[in-house]
Order: sequence, then C-alpha cells, then structure tokens
Amino acid sequence: MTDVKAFLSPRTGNRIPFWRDVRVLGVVGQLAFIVFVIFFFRTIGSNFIGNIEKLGKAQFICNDGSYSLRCMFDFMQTQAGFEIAETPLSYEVTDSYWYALSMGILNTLKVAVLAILGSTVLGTLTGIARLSNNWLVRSIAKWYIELIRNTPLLVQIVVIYFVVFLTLPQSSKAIQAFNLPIFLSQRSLSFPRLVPTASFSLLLAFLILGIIEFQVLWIALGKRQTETGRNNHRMLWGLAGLILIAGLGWLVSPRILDSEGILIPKSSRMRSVDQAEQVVLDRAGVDHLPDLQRLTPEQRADAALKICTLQSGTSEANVASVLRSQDIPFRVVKRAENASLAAEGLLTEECDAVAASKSVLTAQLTAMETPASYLILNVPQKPLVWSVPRREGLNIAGGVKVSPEFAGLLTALVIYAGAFIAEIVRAGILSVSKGQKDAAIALGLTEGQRLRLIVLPQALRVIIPPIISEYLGTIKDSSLGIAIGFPEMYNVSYTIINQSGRSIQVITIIMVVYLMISLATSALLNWYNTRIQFVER
Amino acid sequence: MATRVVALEEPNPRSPQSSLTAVIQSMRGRSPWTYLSWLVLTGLSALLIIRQMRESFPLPLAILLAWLIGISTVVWGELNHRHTKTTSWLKANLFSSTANALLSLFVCFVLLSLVRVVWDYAVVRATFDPDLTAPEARPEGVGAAWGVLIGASKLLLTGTLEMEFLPRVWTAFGIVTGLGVLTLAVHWANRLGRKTLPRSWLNGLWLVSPLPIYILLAGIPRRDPFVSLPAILAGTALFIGVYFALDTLRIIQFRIRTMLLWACVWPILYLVWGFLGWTGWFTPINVDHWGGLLLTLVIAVFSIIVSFPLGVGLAFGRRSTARGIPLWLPLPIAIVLAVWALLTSTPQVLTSARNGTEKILAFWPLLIPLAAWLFQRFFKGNVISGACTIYIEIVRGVPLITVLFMAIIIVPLFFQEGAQIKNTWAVLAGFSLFNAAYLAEVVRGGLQAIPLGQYEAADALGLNSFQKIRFILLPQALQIVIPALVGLFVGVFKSSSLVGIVGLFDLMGIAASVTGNPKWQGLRTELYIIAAVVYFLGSYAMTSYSWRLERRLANAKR
Repeated sequence: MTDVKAFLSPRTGNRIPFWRDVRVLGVVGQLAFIVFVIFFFRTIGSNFIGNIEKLGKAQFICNDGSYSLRCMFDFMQTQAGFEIAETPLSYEVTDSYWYALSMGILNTLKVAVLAILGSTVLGTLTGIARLSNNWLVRSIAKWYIELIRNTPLLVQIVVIYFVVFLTLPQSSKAIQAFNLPIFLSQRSLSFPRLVPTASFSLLLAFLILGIIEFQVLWIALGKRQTETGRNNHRMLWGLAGLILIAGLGWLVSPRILDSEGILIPKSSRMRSVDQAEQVVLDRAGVDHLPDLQRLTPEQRADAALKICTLQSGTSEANVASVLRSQDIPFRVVKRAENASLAAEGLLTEECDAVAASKSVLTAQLTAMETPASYLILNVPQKPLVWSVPRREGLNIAGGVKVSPEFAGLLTALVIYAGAFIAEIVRAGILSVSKGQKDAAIALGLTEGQRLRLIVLPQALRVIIPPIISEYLGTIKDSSLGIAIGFPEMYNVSYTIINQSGRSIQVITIIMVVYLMISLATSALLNWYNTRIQFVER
Repeated sequence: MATRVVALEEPNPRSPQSSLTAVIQSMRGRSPWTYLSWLVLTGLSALLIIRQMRESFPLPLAILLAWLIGISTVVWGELNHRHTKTTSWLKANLFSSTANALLSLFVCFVLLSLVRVVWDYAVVRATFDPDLTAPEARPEGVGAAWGVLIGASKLLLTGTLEMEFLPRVWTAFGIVTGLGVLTLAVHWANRLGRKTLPRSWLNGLWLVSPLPIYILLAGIPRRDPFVSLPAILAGTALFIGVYFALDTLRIIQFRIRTMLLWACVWPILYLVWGFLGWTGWFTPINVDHWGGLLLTLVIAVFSIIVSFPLGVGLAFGRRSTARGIPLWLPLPIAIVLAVWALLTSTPQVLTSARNGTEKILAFWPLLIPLAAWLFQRFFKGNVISGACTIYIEIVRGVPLITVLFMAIIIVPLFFQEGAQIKNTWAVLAGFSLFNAAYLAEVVRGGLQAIPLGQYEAADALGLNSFQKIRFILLPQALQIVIPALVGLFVGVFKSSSLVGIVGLFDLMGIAASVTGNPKWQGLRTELYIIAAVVYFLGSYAMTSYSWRLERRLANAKR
C-alpha cells in the first residue's frame, strides 16, 4: 500500500508552480501586451507629434487666428471652392467643406443602395440560371461568373466606362435606343421620368385611401377565405377597388388644384390652349397639322411655338406634355430664373407664351406695364406628367439625366457583385435537401411555384450571412468611383485633402463615416439574419 | 356471379402513333404564360436569325440545321424509345421541353451575334504591327491595334524600371521559376515513390530565397568594407538564444547540428551583405520605379507572405480565452481618472467652448468609465482579445483605398524626421496589414470548425500552447479553409490593382498611363483588355488549383 501523499512534497502539496500556471501566465501575458502596446505607441507617438509640429501650426489654426488643438476641424467650415460634377441636392462652390463632403456621402449611398438592389436581382437570377436544366444557359452563367470573379473590379469599372460609355457619340448626335425616347450620349443618358405636379398631393391622398381599402379587403376576404375555403379572388377585388379610387383621384385632383397656366399677349388669337395649333399653322402657312410634315425641319422649327418658362418647377414638363399630346411642335427658348425675366421674353417677342403656375403669372401680370394687353390661359394639368427627353438644338432637354460616370460605376458594381451573389445563391439552393424538391413536384407545384414558395425561403438561411459581407464589400467598393471621376465620398475627400492640405483630419473623418455605414448595415442585416434562422429545439 | 372486368385501354408503348399524339397532347392545355413565352422566344429568335443571315449566310444556316437535326433526333428517340448516349444527353440538357428547345435556339443566336461583333473587332479588322499603333497610322474602321502589346511590353512587364536592371529582374524570375519547378519535380517523384531531396532542404531553399530576390530587385547600398565583430557576435547570440527559447518551449528538438546551422546563419548573411555592398555589384534600385507585372507580383507575393503570420496571430489572439482583467481593477481607476479630469479640464473647456458641440465634448471624461465597462462587457476584460477584435473590425470596415492612402500619407509621419520612406514600402506595409485582418477571419472560421475534442485531447496529452497550435490546430484549420484561403489570395492578387490609384504604376497603372504616349494614344481598350486577360489567367489558375486540391483532399478523407 503506497501512500500517494508521500509523492507530494508537504510544502507545495499539489499546487502548480506559478511559472507554469495558465491563469497566471494569461494575466502576465496581458500585462506584457499592455506594456508593449504603450511602449510601441510612445515611440511612434513621439515621432508623430514631432512631425506634426514640424508640419507647422497651420494645421490647427482657428477661425479667429489663434492656434489650438480644438480647432482641428475648423478648416472644414471654409468655402469649398471646387465644383462637384453631380450632386443629389443643390450645391454651390461657396458651400463649406462639410457640405461638399456630405454631398459625396449622399452620392456614395445612392450608388451603393442601387448597386445592392441591382446586384441582388441579377445575382439571384444568375444563380438560378446556373442550376437550369438547359446546358447552354448553365454554361453561359458559369462562364459569366468565372470571368467576372477572376477579374479585378477596377479593371471592370475602367473597361465599362471607357469602352462602353465614352464611345457614345456627342450629345448633338445622341443615339436613340430602339426608337424610344431614350437618348444616349457621351455627356448623359436621358430617360423619361414622371414629374409630380401641384395636384399630385391630392392624388396621393386618394392613393393612400385606395391602399387602405386594399388592405381592408385583403384582410376581410382573406379571413372569409380561410374560414370557408372558397377562393374569394381578393387580389382581383382589391386591385379593382384601388384602380377605381386612383382613377377617381386622377380625374378629380386636377379639377380641384388647377394651377398651371400660360401668359400670352392678347394679340395672339389664342383663347385656349387647344387653339395653339392654329397659331403654329398660321405661322407655317399650312391648313392642317399633318401638312407640317411636308415642310423642311428648319421651317418647322421656325413655325414651332416658342415657350419661355421658369428653371425650377413643373410647368415646363406639364406644358410640354400637353403640347406633345396634341402633336404641336414647340421649343423652349428660355428657362429664366424668375417670372419677370421670363416675361421680358414676351415683350421682346422672343417667345409666344410664358408657362408657369397661375399664381406666379397673376403676380407677374400686375407687375407688367400694360396688364390689359395680356391674358392668362388655363393649361389642363395632370397629377403626374411624363417629362420626356427631346432633341433641342445641340442638347437634349427634359427627362432625367444620368451621368456616364454614375451609370458606369453602377453597372460595374452590379455585374461584379451579381457574380458573387450568384455563387452564394447557388450554394444556398443546393443546401435545401432534395426531398423538398421531390415533395413539391409530388404536390403538383410548377417550377416557378416550387422555387418561390419552397426552395428559396429555406435557402435564405444559408444565403444571408455571406451576402452580408458581400453588401459591405459593395459599399466599400463604391470608393473606386475615383478612377472614373464619379464624385463619391472618397473622391470628394481627395479633393478636399489636396486643397486644404489637412490629410489626417479628413482621412479620420471618412474612415469614421465608412465604419459607421458598415456597422449600421451589418447590424441591420444581422438582425434580419437572426429573424429567419431555423428555430431548433 | 361473374363480374366482367373490362381492361382499361392502355396506350401501346411500342406504337409510334400513340406516342406522337401523346407528344402533341402534352403541348396542349398549358397555361397562357407558357404559350406567351413560346411566342416571344420564337419571335426574337426569328429576328436574330434574319439579322445574322443578312450579314453572312453559312454559319447561321449551319446552326439552324444543327438545331433542327438535334430536335429531330431527340423526337425520333422519344417516339421509338431508343436513345443513344448523345440523344439522351441532348434531350436532358437542350431539348427537354418546347420552351427549352426554343431557348437553346435563341441563346445560340445571341451568342453568335456577340461573338461576331467581338471577332470582327479583335481579329478580323485588327492590326498586329507594333509600328502601326499611332493614331495617324490607324485609319478609320480599323479594329484593335494589338501591336501595342509588343511595343509597350517592357513597360507592361517592368514599368519604368531602368533598362540596365532588366537582367537582374530576369534572374530573380529565373530563381523563382527554378525553385517552383524543383518543388513540382520533387513532389511528383515522391508520389511515384522515388526518393529525392528531403522536404526540409526544399523548405530551407524557399525560406532563403527572399534574400537573393531582394538583393536582385532592390540592391544593396554601397558601403566601405567594415566588419564589426560585436555586431556579428550579438547577432549569432540572438539566433542561438532564439533556438534555445524554441527548444525550451518544446517546439523543436535540440540537435547540435541544427544549432550550429542556426549559429552560422547570421555571420554568413552579414559577411555576404558586407561583401556585396563593398563590391557594389548590385546597385540600389529606386523601388518607386518598380512597375507593371513585376510590381503586381511583388505586391501580391509580399503581402500574402507577410500577412500570413500576422493573420494567424490575430486569429488566435481574437479567440484568446486567457483570464481577463476583472472589472474591479480598471473600473475604480477609471472612475477616479474621470472625476479628476472632470474637475480639472472640463470647466476650462466649457468656458472657452464656441458652440454646442464643443460644450458637449467638454464632458469627455465620462467616456473613460464607459470604455472600461464596455471593455469588460464585450471582451470579458481580455486585453489581447479586445485589441485583436477592434483591429480586425476597424480594418475590415474601411475600403482598401483609404488604407493605402493613409499608409502613404501617415506612415512617414511615424518615423523620425528626415527618414524618407519610399511609397512602395508604405503601400506594401499597409496592404499586408489590411490583408492580415481578412486572413484572420478566415483562419478563425477554420479554428471554429475544429471539434472541441481536438483541443481537449491536446491538453490531455500535455502539449503546451505552441505545440498544440503547431501540431494539432493549424494543420487542421488550414486544411478546412483551403477554398476560402485561395479565394482570399485571389482577392489579394486582384486588389493589388488598386495601387494604381495611389500613384504606383502596377499593371493597371501602367496600362492607364501608357496611353499618354503619343505613339499609343487612344489604345485604352486594347491595354485594359490585355491587363484584364493577365489578371484572369492568374486568378483562374489559382482557382482551378484550389478546386483540384479540394477534390484531392475530399477523396483522401474518404
């Protein structure tokens, strides 16, 4: 019988010596780490401070001329003094650096959100195509994914911009795509867009009413459907009600909020906008509108109705839409900053009519020299009006103009992220067990229903985590807009650094902003991820 | 009572007639969307076919005939229930339904039109003469001018490096290629069962190779022959000390032979360096002149090699489970500090505050106890885990461009006055630190995938931490994440193209600036496509190697 205790020294017992104890070593390790870090930052920090002081106290000059560490960011309030090619809000060169940087941030958010939406759609479709039972479609999807994933994003951005967008012609010779009113040129891509006029607010009220009605019908009929089992066609009834109410709003709101008009001299024999046709025909010397086609383009341009309008506001789009619906040729000769400048055009016979809202026109009428010789006509107004691009001289007027830089960056981001998302979606769809597919076929679901109702909801659990990092990557990749001159946050900050010389402060600001955007997106998507996880025992 | 059972009429599978009606029957009674899709596909295909036939006759006709033949063989096979391998493949992949068959035709013709356009530009109308690249020499209607590839080849490969250093670059390339071929040969010979070079020799060669490559590519500054004995002795002592430390930590086994080898390394290096500096054979190269494919490869390889140990260290640091500093230690200190700062600095700042923001910022001491509490809450007081996590999350949250820009502007400020840090070194450092964070996350994923039993078994066997990491954890973790690792390396290779934006002339930067030369003006498309092809070849090679590796390891596991 051996005594185990005899093996252990009576002094130490069974304690572990401190130089081998993991807990002690852990704490000692952390203390050593702290000491190392302090020492490291001390060395670097002293060099850093010394170099900053060498840079000159100009880095910390305050607004009142004194020097203080506090005034590190004061220089951001000075006037920017540089142009930004495109801004979502209005921007002047006299705005501060802060405002210029915020324009850059808005541009980044704009391109990032649109790129995320577009790439998700493209990626999902490509991922599904990758699993198609058509060999050609599968191979094309596979090679598209391989080609895009193995080429750097910068190369793709640059190739798309220089090879696709900059080879478009000048705006005077813009290409019209598929005979639609879409004009593609080197300066901009013009697309038609909907412009809400003054009566849109009333239409909006009707629409909200209609949506409420749709929801009520949906819930009520849905309850009856689950109880009785009969198909109540609630989608049909709901949509019918919505369309009815929206149609009512469409007809009623312009009658109530009727605010567009044109100012014409009484000498022109127009007494309503319909008679504008007669003015043009008289000028051209023909009797009927179709005869205008027989004239040369110059004669047609001379005979066209000349309109002066204001720069801001929706009158131009409205009047253009009315005249376009009647096939009356017209030209907007002046876009003035205010009504009096526009009315000058009437006096000098530069234009035949001034288009603006009736309140502005009435105010202008009282300010004119001979109010009695002028007349304000009513222009029929629709709540939503198409602003359609048209050729005007050497430029394209109307519609929404998308710059080639924005279009190039957006296209490249959508294509690049779409390829990665396609692989993620494919992995997700493959992760759904095959029994689900067999069960869906046995139940008689079509392929589309199977994908939509059975496979994709289950695949989402596997898809979301990698897609989160993909979205974050897209947001950070938007900083490559500087390679083609798109004024997103990094580009604007680069200009600010070059102009003000305060590189450290500006870099800190943009890194903090990028971090905040990344953290916010990551938090939002992780919350969604937790919501759709499998609930397991 | 005899019940007469009437046999149900069954379609005779042998009779072609009933099968044909069956085929036609299956085309009726579909939903209107199916018929619409058939109509749309037929219409679009007809448009494309007519357009292509107008341009040239034989090829579209051949494709149309091939499609018709395909359909007829599949239908014949269906009707007669006799499929060969080809027809069953055609049926499954191209002609499985009417919509599928029409889709195949449509896709064929879309591909044909695209390939036609590209072929026309890149081959038919292209010029390959290096002298005919200037805008004057290229008349209207000429396609690609591939002569720029030959004319600007030196720029594209090595950038603005001086011509006299080109043999050194080729030698360095030769060393790397030679070592690679040697490694491949040893591996194949080993797989065939023949004994060749021992692995440790091969590893040693690879370990030593960065030195001659650095000497070739960056040169040694000229210096007088001065041998400082204390420097040699100190270095040798350091190496021997490290060897003994590793032995104490039980990572390596002590052998007199290996210790003498380690002891020889420093003196040899020192003497060789001094000798080469004295002879001046390898004049220093201005590393900012590295460019083109050379710079791309240097950046990618350097970054991968340097970020690997950093990344693995960060991954283990983030997962550190060492006992953290408990809250009762830093919190009282933090509160005392905060109160002291509130009393001394806040009133001053408040009185001299200029606007609301500064008034709020005057209460900054309140952040100190908050930081201490947050530190305890998120990292359990573990400093190493906290520092690694914060570093990884910050670096992963900012774009690479900002990190590179910061590296160029701010890193020189960290060094002493007058120390001129070349842009290339700053960019290499910044890029490596950036990739270390991403690598850390990938390795962390691999570490999380190792079963907990492995950790416990290692502890039960009495392995210390270094042995555990080196022999148990790292091999398994790296094997699990090989696909993600290779994807990361491909990403490093591709994102090295961003250094062109911060002023270095890598492959993309050179391609962009070559168009400034009047001889090659306006040849953007060709140059960018060449750069894209180079990147694609490199990345695709790495990706397909990783597929093969994955397959081999998956087979080996079974």
